[in-house]
Amino acid sequence: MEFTIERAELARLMTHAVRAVENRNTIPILSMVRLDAVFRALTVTATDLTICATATGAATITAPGSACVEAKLLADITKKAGASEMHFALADGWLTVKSGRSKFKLATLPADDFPTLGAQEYDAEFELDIGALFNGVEFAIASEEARYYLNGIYLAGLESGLTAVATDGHRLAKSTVDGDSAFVGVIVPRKAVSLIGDGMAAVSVSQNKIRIVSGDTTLVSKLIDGTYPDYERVIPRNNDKTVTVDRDAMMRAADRVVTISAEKGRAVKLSIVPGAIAFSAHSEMGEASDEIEAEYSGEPVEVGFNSQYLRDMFAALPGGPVEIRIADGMSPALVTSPAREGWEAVLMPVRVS
Amino acid sequence: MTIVNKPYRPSNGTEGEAFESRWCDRCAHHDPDGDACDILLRAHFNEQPDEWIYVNDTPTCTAFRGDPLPEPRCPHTMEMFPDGQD
Repeated sequence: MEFTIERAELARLMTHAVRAVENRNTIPILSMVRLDAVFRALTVTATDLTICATATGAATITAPGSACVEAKLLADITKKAGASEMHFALADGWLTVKSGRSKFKLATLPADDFPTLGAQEYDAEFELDIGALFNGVEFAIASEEARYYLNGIYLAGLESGLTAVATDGHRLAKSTVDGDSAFVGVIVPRKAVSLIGDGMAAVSVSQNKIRIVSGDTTLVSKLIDGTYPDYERVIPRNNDKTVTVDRDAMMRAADRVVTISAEKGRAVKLSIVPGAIAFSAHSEMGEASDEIEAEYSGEPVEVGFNSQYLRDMFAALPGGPVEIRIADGMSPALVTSPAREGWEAVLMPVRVS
Repeated sequence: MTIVNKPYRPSNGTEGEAFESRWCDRCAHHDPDGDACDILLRAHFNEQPDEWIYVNDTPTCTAFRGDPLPEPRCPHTMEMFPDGQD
């Protein structure tokens, strides 16, 4: 194998692929990337046995071939290379990398030893900006060992469209976009979600894998094998008190009052009255209160939320008005935004004393 | 009252193992099959690592490099799916 590639192009390929590599590996080849130099392109592949990330870019191939090389090492060399071009040559199991006057000799492993996730037939294929869809619900993904099936985003092709749902049992976010591809819901693991970029992509789904192809990058991930909870059951449809607030004002006020506590998720109490919401929080160090304007004309109501949950949820929304529908201080709130059609979220209250 | 930057040392072996399990075993600085983490070595030789302090009352290694630990689950928020109903 021998090829020459622009440093910036290799950096782009490495950036995409290396994120699939785990920080620590007990299997040496999993800390490597596979390089395939074929025709006029270099393909870089990385895997952690659950996710396989591949990126292909233009290169001048002198001798086609493949090899595996330490991922983080190659990424560091690419970052620090002093010239705009990098030349690679494989001989006797060693990969020589030259850039300007720099020269590195790297140990390799045979490409045939690099694991694959296996071939797969997919049940549904569609075009979707899946990154944008997931962005709106990602904040609600759980991190739990026991309820492992919540550690991802539920993606389903329903009559109403393509729906993504995430919940950790304290908050739930659901986003639906137009789409006529029908498939049984699957659970995309958190790490795969974090590797998906924005922009239109060709998405393929089967019962145990998802494939996302965007430009010259491909991400294949195994899915979480579990049963997602009946989320529709917990979305409150009959909350009768609707408050409309400005998203930024709400986030800033919640942030200000919880300054009183070093605890990240300190509860904030909202006292909702016609025309305003009063915020209050307390800790062993003192108390804080604030107030913002709000559109509300019902009976006064008090409800408390984990301030971090509140900020995470509002951060997923664009600026502008946000509607909060409440039944009472002990029931889940439904949050929607006119600026984000098809998005809704549920936030469970805290017990406020 | 929150303790700010107070040095942390495990008070016994069991607590030390729990701390290592929470931080060191998941950290890129610590390779059980290769070079030991310098911070951990210093602690084992009875030095007080500057990196081991209380953050928000929680014993923490400030040099930790790895996937962040999940935030502790809020004990005050009501459950959406009570046990067995999800």
